[in-house]
Amino acid sequence: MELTQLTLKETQEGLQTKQFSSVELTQALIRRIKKHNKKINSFITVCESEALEQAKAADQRMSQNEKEPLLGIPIGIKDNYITKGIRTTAASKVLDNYIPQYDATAVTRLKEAGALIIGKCNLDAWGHGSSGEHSAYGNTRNPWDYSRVPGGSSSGSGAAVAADFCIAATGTDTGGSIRQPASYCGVVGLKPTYGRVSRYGIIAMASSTDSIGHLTKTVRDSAAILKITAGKDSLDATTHDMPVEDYEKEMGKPIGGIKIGIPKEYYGEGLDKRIGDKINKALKLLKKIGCKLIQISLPHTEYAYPTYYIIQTAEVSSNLARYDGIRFGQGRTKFGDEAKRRIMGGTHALSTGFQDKYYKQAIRARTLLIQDFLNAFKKVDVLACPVFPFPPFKFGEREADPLQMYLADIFTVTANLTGHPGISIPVGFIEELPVGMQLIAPHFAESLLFKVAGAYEEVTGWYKVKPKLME
Amino acid sequence: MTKKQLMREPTVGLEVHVELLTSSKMFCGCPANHFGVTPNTHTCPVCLGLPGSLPVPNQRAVEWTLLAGLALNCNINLESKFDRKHYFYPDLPKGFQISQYDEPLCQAGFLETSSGKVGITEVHLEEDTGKLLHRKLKGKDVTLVDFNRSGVPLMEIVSEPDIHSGLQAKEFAQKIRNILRYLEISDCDMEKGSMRLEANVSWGKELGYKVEVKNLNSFRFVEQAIDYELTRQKKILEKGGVPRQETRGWAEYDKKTKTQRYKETAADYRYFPEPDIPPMKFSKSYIDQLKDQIPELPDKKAKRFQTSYKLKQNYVEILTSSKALAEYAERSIKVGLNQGLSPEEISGAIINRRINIQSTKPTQLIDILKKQKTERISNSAKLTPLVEQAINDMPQAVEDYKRGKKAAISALIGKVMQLSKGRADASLTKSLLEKRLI
Amino acid sequence: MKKKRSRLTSAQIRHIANLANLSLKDEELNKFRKQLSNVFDFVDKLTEVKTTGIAETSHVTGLINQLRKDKAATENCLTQKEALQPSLKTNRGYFRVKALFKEQ
Repeated sequence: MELTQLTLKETQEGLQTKQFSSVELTQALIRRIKKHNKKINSFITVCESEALEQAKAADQRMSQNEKEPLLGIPIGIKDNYITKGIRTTAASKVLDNYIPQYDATAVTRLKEAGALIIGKCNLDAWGHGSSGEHSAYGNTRNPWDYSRVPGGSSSGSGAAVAADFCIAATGTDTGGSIRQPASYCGVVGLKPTYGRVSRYGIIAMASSTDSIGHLTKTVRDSAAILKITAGKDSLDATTHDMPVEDYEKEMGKPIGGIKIGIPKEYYGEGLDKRIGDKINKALKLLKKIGCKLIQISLPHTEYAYPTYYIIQTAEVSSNLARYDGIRFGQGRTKFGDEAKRRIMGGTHALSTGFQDKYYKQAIRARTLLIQDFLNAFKKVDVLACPVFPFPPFKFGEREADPLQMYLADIFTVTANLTGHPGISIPVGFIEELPVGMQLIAPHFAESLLFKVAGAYEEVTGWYKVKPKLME
Repeated sequence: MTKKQLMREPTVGLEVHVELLTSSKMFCGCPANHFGVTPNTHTCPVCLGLPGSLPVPNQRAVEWTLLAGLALNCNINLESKFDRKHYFYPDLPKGFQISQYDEPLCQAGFLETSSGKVGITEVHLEEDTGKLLHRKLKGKDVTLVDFNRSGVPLMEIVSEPDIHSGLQAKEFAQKIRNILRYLEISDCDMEKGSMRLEANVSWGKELGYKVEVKNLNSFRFVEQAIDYELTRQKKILEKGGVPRQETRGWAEYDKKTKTQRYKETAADYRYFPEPDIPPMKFSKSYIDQLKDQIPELPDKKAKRFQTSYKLKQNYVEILTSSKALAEYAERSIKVGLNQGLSPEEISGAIINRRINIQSTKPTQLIDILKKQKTERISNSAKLTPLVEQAINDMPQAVEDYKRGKKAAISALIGKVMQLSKGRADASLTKSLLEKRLI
Repeated sequence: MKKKRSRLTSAQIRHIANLANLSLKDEELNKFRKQLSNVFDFVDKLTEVKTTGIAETSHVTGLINQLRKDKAATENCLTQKEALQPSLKTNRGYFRVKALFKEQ
């Protein structure tokens, strides 16, 4: 097995038992990036020299028996995470040469755990997108098929993990942006509970739905990273003081008796039948290892996307108001079309004469959607839902009409509006293209997600299948 | 009905912005002081509005705003929150100001003035903007921006349009200042800009317009500008017109208000609840606790000084203009009561002799006054020679007095004081002089 | 042709762009007008939902009173150099913008 193919857990063990060094690992990853990234375009910035320097330092510390959990492990950081001294663009020309003066809390925590930053991952500019086609720095390609999209907005992160360019990568999920690329790239994507991980230093998209998470090769890797990034931050007033658990603790324990809810509204006409079949197969397997499958209803599902669109664009229009080119950045003329559309949509939804009809209505509808989920969790322990309504599509296929792109989010947005945690895991392939399924749990029940998803992963081992990167 | 017929009475509302004396800014830990500080050295990602930054509210600023509201007889909203107010301006780094819209901390209060009660619509909390400086660089006009002030806690007090004159507005503003100084939450310095005033002026709530008046940098300007503006508007109304809804600034040099900004449409601030800051909920017991923390306020203290100590109005006004001074005076009076010194004597001494209240303890003051009293010449027989000498030494003053300039007697009293090395009883001296100079 | 309930007019789009401080060319205004009208036509579905008597949700964490002790903490403060670094236009410690007429 190549060093680059190792999971986080395997890397931790390998480094600690001195089977290889951080420098060797980092060099192997950089070689792989140089060989394949030109085509895939996962990174806006590759931090080659910095990463190697940090790898050297990490090896030094390891030789002195320091044991930080991520010591010497190269991670990709989505380029909407502020990184001190490292160019941060949000994949927009507005921030083309922005070198931030501070680190995001999530970055600080990863660094303090010993991780090294191998590069800044590409994304749909500002997080606005579900395909990876909206970066000002070029499309990211799906490592499984270069003519198809990797999903977004954490497109570079998903592709980088799938292509073994880094051991793990961070992401953000505002309407599905971690779960979607995870699904299309065949990796594990975690959207934690809103307020579980600090948003300080994450370029804000929609403040009340932005969830700070990560993409990994396995479920256990995901749990390991959450242990590090989760927890109250005095710089983010929306972080919860719920204690941070040992998220790996429940993994491997029997999952008998766990009730899995299947929301009927998610499995109707809008879902590609082949995806429905793959998910059904996965659910049957979970039933076989002890879970109960229970049909439930989330009655307000059809209003989820309009609710999300209004609230998200309203908050986007507000959060992007600071980009006036005075203290940093190139100014508002450099916004791309999608950003302009969303700024204008949100401005309209908040403006005098329209605020009641749109914004006020949306924040009441949000309450109804939350009630749907809370009612469901009275009957079941987790929900199982599709991620995308259709398999990875070709570039340009859904570009002509912005609305068509937006509707790719219908299965993911509700968990953002309600704040619930969700994990997307690979459940197989359709014509050699990955398919993901998401599990959603009650607030702060990430351990349950890892437990169930981990049990499934253990039996199926989908993560062992790797894309064959085209030369 | 014509506008002239509808014209009721001067209708003035005041908006007071007050910088709170907290150690740190409203939403970040930067030092809140900015006066005279090197530009852009008290900033951080939050108050600079850098990408990714988030606001975390200052507890003391919230408490002080509640105290101010309670001192102004307001109802406290037990559930309150912050909202975003959107507009674009270079001194506003985020493109929105975190303020309060529909659930302010305090509402529906009032303040008594000598010409009637003025309602307080609300007291709310927000953040200050950066500072703009207008300069010429290489012959070209530019605007420079300093964000040291950006994010400083700003309390806004909005009055009902119950004010009827420039004079009343001035009194209102002075009372607000005194109350806030008593609470020790702001130094309310108009010159430094820690207290800023804006007036909304019209001749009636139903005339369909109101004029915003800015650039009121002193209490004197407040009075003058409002009176000027009322007159200006009256002239227009009497001719059958309606004053334009606009913003005007007081131009001190010309003693006029001048058009600053004229907008066709009102601003659309697109307020919505601040998603980065969870709401605030206060218990009734917490608010009651805060109420207990409010010291005796100037008006109440003044009334009590008048009734308990029978002090004259002008003495009371001076003593209660500062809480420290009032407390010092009261302590001194209490010490002096058992030692044969009247509240009036003690107050007079503190005011006229400009006693340094920091260095002279009340007990020390009383000792000094007692000593001077025992040494005081209150005996007519003893004073008469000094009176004669003063009359001899100051023939001009005597002539002025005899010719009707009664105030000239002060010079003569002063002379007697000088001759007696300050020990002459002032009022006895005065009556002796008056009898002598008939 | 299906009636577009949310057809945005050119004047409305221009007003929105103005409020949002976006200067757009005519072709852009027209393009966005069509696209946004289309989106809002779909989003209008939201008006079907009965929400009278339903509380508004602005926060999902359930947190309240997340207030900070008033202490000047300089660990996050930037130096003047750091503050000005990313700007394209500065002058002697200040950020520099086009002249504005005196307002205050």
